[in-house]
Amino acid sequence: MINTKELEKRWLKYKTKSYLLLLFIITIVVLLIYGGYYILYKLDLNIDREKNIKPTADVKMVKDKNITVTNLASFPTPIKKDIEVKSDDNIVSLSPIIPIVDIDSETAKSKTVKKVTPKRKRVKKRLVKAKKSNYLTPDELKENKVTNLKDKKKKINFKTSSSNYIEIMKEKFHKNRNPREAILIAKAYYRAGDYKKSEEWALKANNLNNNLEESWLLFAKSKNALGKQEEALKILIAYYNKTKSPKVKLLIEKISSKSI
Amino acid sequence: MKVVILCTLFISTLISSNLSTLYKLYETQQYKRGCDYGFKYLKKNRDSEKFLTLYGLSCLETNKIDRIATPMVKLKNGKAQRENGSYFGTILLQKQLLKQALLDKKELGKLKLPKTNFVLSKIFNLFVHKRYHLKDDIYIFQDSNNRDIEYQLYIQKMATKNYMILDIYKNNKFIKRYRYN
Repeated sequence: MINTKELEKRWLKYKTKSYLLLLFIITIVVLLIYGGYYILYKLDLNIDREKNIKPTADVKMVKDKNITVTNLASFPTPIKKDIEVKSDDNIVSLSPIIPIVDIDSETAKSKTVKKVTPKRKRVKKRLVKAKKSNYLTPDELKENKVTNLKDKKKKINFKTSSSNYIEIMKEKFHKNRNPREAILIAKAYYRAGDYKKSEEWALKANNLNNNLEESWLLFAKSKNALGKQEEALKILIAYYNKTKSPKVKLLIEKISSKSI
Repeated sequence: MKVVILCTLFISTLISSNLSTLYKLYETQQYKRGCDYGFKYLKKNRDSEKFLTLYGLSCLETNKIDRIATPMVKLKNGKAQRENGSYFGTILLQKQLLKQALLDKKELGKLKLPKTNFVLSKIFNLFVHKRYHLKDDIYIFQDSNNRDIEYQLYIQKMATKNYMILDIYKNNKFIKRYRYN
């Protein structure tokens, strides 16, 4: 009789051996890939950082590794920048961050309190005028209306204090290149109704610092005001997905419901 | 409850109106008025960091530079606010050190403090690096970026107080004077 138990044992041994061999080969392959990657990239960078402090080190590295100069140029060189900063006397430079105040909303808030008193005066004036008009003939009334209209026309003024302000802020911006100043200029243009320039300055601010939410909002608002509603929504949605800002969400809702 | 809500609304509207007024004054470069306005309503707006920043920036352009000490201490919530606080602190320290150097002949050596874009900070750095001419107790500095601009720094001795004066000249024409306590 054939000893089946012994045969089974031998078969099991054979199978486990074959599996172990396969496992061994896979681990070696993985180790080789990872090791190669480590030597090529990670180990190289470490050597660079240590040796890059000396200016001649770069040239030696090129000779050792047979890398052409053109290839080297394509590598990012953050180390050089560090050295430049160190050579600048290690002095920290500070500049003020001018807060952005939304005057429209601020004044709207303050008007809610101030509105109470002038309303009474207006009512009184209207009452006096109404009484007087009762004594006038229709022809006199016509004349009166015409003269009133003329007076009203004279009163209309389109002066804005922001024109001088924009010039001042532009000068400041050209001096400091502060993105917040660009935002203030964009805001002033937006308030003045020059949406194209507002868009332009918001973009300038964004190019200098793309983390300023105000620049995104202004850019989108200007786009919307120029009739590019879809573009404005695209920009805002992309920014919202990044930041989840409630302000942005509110503006998206406003633009999509055309309530802005 | 209604009274409380109404009171808070009223206070908030008052604060906002102060802020917009101060902002408008700063916008139109009416720094002296802005500084005095801010000082007047400082108590009411002591928790508004925007108000404090604008108040500090307005006072910085006037002779009442010591007033920036309040925003310097109070600006501490938020990255931008802290940066403004450091900005004010640096300028105030530089002013204090300059005055000490001028009055008491205190040697500043090669002191390294942060740079700012404010004129006093420029003067401080020039003074520390001894890039000046001393003529009749007046320190004369030349702007490193613009050769046409000249600064004169000196002490004006009065009966009760000593003022540190900083005069700015462009093409030998007087432009501006800062008179610090």
